[in-house]
Amino acid sequence: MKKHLTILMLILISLLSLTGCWNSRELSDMAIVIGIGVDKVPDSDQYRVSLQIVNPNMAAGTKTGGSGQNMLPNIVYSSVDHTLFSAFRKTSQKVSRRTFFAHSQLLVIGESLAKEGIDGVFDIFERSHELRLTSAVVIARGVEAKNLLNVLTPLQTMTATSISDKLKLASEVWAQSVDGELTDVIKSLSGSGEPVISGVRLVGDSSKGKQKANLDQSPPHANIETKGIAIFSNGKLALWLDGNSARDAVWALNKMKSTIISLDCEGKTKALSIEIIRSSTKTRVIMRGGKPVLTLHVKEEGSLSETNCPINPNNRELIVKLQKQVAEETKKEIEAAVKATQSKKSDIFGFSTEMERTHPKEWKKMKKNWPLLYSESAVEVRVEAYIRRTGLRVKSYMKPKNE
Amino acid sequence: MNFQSVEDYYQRPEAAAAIRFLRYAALFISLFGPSIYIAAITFHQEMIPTPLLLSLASQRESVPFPAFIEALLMEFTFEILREAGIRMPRAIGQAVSIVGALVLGQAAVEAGIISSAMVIVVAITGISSFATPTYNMAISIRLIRFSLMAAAALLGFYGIAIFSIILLGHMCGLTSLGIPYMTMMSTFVPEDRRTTLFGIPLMTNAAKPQLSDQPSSKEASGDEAPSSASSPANPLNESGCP
Repeated sequence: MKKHLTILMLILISLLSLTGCWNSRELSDMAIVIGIGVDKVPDSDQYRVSLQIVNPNMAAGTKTGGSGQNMLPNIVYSSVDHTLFSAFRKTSQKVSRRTFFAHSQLLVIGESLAKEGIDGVFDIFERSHELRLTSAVVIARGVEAKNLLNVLTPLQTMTATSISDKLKLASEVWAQSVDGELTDVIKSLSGSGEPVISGVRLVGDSSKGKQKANLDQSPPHANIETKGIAIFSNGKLALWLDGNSARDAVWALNKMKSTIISLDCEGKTKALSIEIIRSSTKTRVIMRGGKPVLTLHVKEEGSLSETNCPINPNNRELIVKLQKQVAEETKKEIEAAVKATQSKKSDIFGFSTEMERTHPKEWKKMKKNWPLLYSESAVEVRVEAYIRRTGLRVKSYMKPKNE
Repeated sequence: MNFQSVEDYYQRPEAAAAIRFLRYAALFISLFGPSIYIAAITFHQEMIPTPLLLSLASQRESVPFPAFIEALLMEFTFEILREAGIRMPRAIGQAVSIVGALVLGQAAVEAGIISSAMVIVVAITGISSFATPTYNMAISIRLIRFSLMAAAALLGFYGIAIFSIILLGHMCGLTSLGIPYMTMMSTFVPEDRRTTLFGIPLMTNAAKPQLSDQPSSKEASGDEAPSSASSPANPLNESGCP
């Protein structure tokens, strides 16, 4: 027993000196990667990978740091190589600490790379244990991913967090972008559908955006905003949907959480806004005469949130009329969005999966030329709209003119 | 057993039960607190939420020691303070604790030797260790904590798991006056265990534990619970583990 105890004590004491243990990493030896940017190097088949690394002294904003107050919150390092992983490793030539990918929150893909095809980008994200599949994916519109990550942002000190938060918020309350994770993109790339990825763009002067002076002014010299949804065809960027048509794609994808619809009232254009608070979309494919017909059934609920014309919502008939208007508006918009994707033969709404599930026999025949069939199929949209509430006020304070 | 306190029976049973759960939580913290912290920040950084990780990373920027050494240093200092506080005359004792708190909490962090997160962890561990009513239990937990910290520094959560299994095995092997230490768990008689785990009104707990050698009033009346049938007449020969 005594012998055992001695051995145990020896082992325990030796622990003190043997701190370089299996897989053990001290926080101060790690470079935490918060965002990853991938660009295509022009006229070659190499990738330029940009890693956005957090400067912990600055990012947490602690008072005790003292020395770190005038440093940048994040630094971007880029390296060029044929595969993403070797480029990741190549970055060690430039960074003094070991890169740590598990907290990466954003993957930015350059627009030029997206146009050439994004098929090759995602394998490493699934294969490597270091990377996470939950980070958001965006496409840098009209700008290189590297330059986008370089911009310093107010409010959120880290650019990558700022972008992913903007994406989340905008997709929740404005619904003109989708908050897509890496898993979603990979899923749709591996199936027979196409991925949808939101766009982000740089507004302002990108060279000034890199400097700390960017934050000395309101509004900043350069800012990042979410803009539009990218539609892919064969894994290549085919079309940008912007504004309302982006919203309709979100609607058809059943990812609508909340948005605002503007309606005309009493001759004024867009003078009345309805906030959609709940919406669900069912996509079905029915066979009619041997041809697939794509049907979308939308059920939405909203409330009257603002009106610039003197209406009286006490009137049941008026509400019914407004409901009809909302349904009509939604229907028009969704049809336009589906038509737009049909023109690029890009089935982003998962009709192919629906087809495979409900009509397996026909699907086997159609599988090969589904993109073509998709673009030629008829579309039927049915919308049920309900207006549930009129806000805190019933009748508007404005007086009708002809009274 | 070790978490019952006399004053429990002067409170309403609900309150007593709640306080007792608090003691279980305190046991868990005082046993695993520092080791979980060490394991998380040296092995499993991916499971810390990003904002927290960044905050921890910024605190650790200036700390020269590995997390394990840092924790050991702090725990050791705390144990010294605690022991010294007991030996000292009461009048000076308070002054010492103030100096200790200031030296440990403030100066060490400002000097950049210890990170403030570690001070929090050690403080909550230390306070939790006072919440166990039985001194024997509290002191063994104090000692086991250090081994757990070493296991966490060596193998992370894996190490904590391995050490906990070894600890459980050891507990199963212990005997006290010939009765296995884990008898309470192995021959599980729900009626007997009610007061051990939760704390119930004393009036409903009139019966003797069925594991004791004399038959209880319940057994004598023939109103036996199914589990009591299997309870051995002589528990001394029964193995302590399921």
